[in-house]
Amino acid sequence: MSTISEARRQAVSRRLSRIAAVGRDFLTNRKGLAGTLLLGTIVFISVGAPLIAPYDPTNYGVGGALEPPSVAHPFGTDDLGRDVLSRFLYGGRISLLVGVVSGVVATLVATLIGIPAGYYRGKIGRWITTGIDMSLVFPPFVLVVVFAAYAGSSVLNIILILSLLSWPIPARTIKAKTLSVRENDFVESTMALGASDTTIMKDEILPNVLPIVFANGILQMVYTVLMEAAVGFLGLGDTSRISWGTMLYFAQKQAALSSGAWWWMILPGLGIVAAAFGFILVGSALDEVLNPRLQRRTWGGD
Amino acid sequence: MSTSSKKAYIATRVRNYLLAFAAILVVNFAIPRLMPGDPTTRFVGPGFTEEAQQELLREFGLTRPIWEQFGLYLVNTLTGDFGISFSRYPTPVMELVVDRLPRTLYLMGASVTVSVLIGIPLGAFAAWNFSKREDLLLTQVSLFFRSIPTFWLGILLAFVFGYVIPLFPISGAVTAGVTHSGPIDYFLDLSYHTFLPVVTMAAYFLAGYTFLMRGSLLDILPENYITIAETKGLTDRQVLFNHAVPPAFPPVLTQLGFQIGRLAGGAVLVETVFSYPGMGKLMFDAVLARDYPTIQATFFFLAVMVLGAMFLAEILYTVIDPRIGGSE
Repeated sequence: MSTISEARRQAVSRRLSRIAAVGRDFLTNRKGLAGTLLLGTIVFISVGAPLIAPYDPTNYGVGGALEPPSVAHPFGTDDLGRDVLSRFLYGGRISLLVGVVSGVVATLVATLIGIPAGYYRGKIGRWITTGIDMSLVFPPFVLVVVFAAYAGSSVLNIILILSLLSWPIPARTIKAKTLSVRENDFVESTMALGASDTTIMKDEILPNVLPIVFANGILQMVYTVLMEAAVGFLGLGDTSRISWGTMLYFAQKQAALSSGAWWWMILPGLGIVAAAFGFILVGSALDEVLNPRLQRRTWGGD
Repeated sequence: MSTSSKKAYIATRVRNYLLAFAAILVVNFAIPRLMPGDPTTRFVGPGFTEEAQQELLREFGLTRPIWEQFGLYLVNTLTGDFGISFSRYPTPVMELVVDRLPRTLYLMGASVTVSVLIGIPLGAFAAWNFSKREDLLLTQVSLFFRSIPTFWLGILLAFVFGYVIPLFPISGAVTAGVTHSGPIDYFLDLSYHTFLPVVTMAAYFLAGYTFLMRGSLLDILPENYITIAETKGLTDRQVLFNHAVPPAFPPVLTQLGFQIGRLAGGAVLVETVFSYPGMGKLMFDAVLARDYPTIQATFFFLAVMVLGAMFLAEILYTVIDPRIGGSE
């Protein structure tokens, strides 16, 4: 009785020490650390906005209209006399929420489609692959604009649209990885033992594809955060909520720059850059740590 | 590799492109009909005369069974009939498209050219200096550029170079009210007006190509034939340019094909920021005005442009890469 539980216990502790090693490598990776700090800061200000924000972000006339930065309003006020800093602190919530949730959903869809595409040989695999290739043809952001125009712009709609449109590129990556994992002996031998396709994909393929899925999922959030901002900027997002994208939409609509009110546009833009950069750094650090082959390539002019 | 397997490869690819074209046709047909709301309101604008309404309902068969509608839609689309614009009544949508399409093609073409011409050498330079300070700096800077929203970069550039230091125009395609003395004069005016939009769009893609070229070269540099070329006593420069760079191109080209979809999205944003009268701005204005026939037509043409560009990239790829046609 003890041998099986002993083996299981060992497997679990191996997995735990592997996770701990990855965590160590990740935090000693400069990109990983910088990205984590950046994203951590954004999460902190978004969660803590009610405590940090100097003013109520929706309150009109806490200052005059378009006041330049001052001690009272370090990042000025907008056309309706609302405090830009306070709106910025609250604005990260929607950007992060939409970016993260649609990044996760898109990656799940990509995994569910990418693994069978790489696993099944013959007709099934070819048809799924053709399906992925067809989906790659549609320009994603253009489709987002079209859908937002027809379907309306609630936060839920935007999440759904972004999730359903950004899976094809990661699906291709996951398919490629599945193809190479499938060549391994342990997959062949599980097949020889008569395991079902679903079992093999779940127990043998998925754990080996997971590192790629994980790194890809984070990198996916770079695009979803940027697309959310762009949808907001075009005025196709939920304009009744504060987000960095819609802040820029209103600023552009009121011709903020030609009236010289640059302060209205700087902070929300920097917020988007910081979020996207944070995800890129974390994603590529994860990729380096989880798929270490990338680091071993050495060659140089000397 | 044999000619027959190359032929088979090309046949599969061509079949896939035809399938993709069919998929675009179907999706473009389905979107206005599947979305919530009365589909007829997607074709007949509120301000249309009674006569025009009847004409359009008949032309698009909106009261008939769905298969007949699809047949009519195919005939209309393939003959370039996209109905009448709601917001620019009574201009046919196709007239607007014909007017705008070349400008967007120019914007995309110029941006791709600029980003490839700068990005590819930068990527080669980074790979050449792998792990050194230059490489690390270039990598970080490209990652940073990938994080800047295109539209925001456009706004900043317009503010700095169009408003604070007024060097460049920040809207339009050519100077309003000017008659150009010839094609060269027109081209110069166009390039001047599109300078900032092209820089904005190129910045994002430039960073991408730097990365792609670097990655592709790093995959090739450990290969045996590179080592052999080195032991033959060739200089580093000769190894890089004669043996490493040529085979590094094809993977970059394939990726370039996939990125073209993003280029169309970029056009919507950049054209909107710079009020550039192209397909992207046409689409955005149509979305604001709920001008459904124009939305449908701009989507169709942007998708077909992307498909065409992917096809071109793939042809180039097949011509350049001798390995193509083996196992898939």
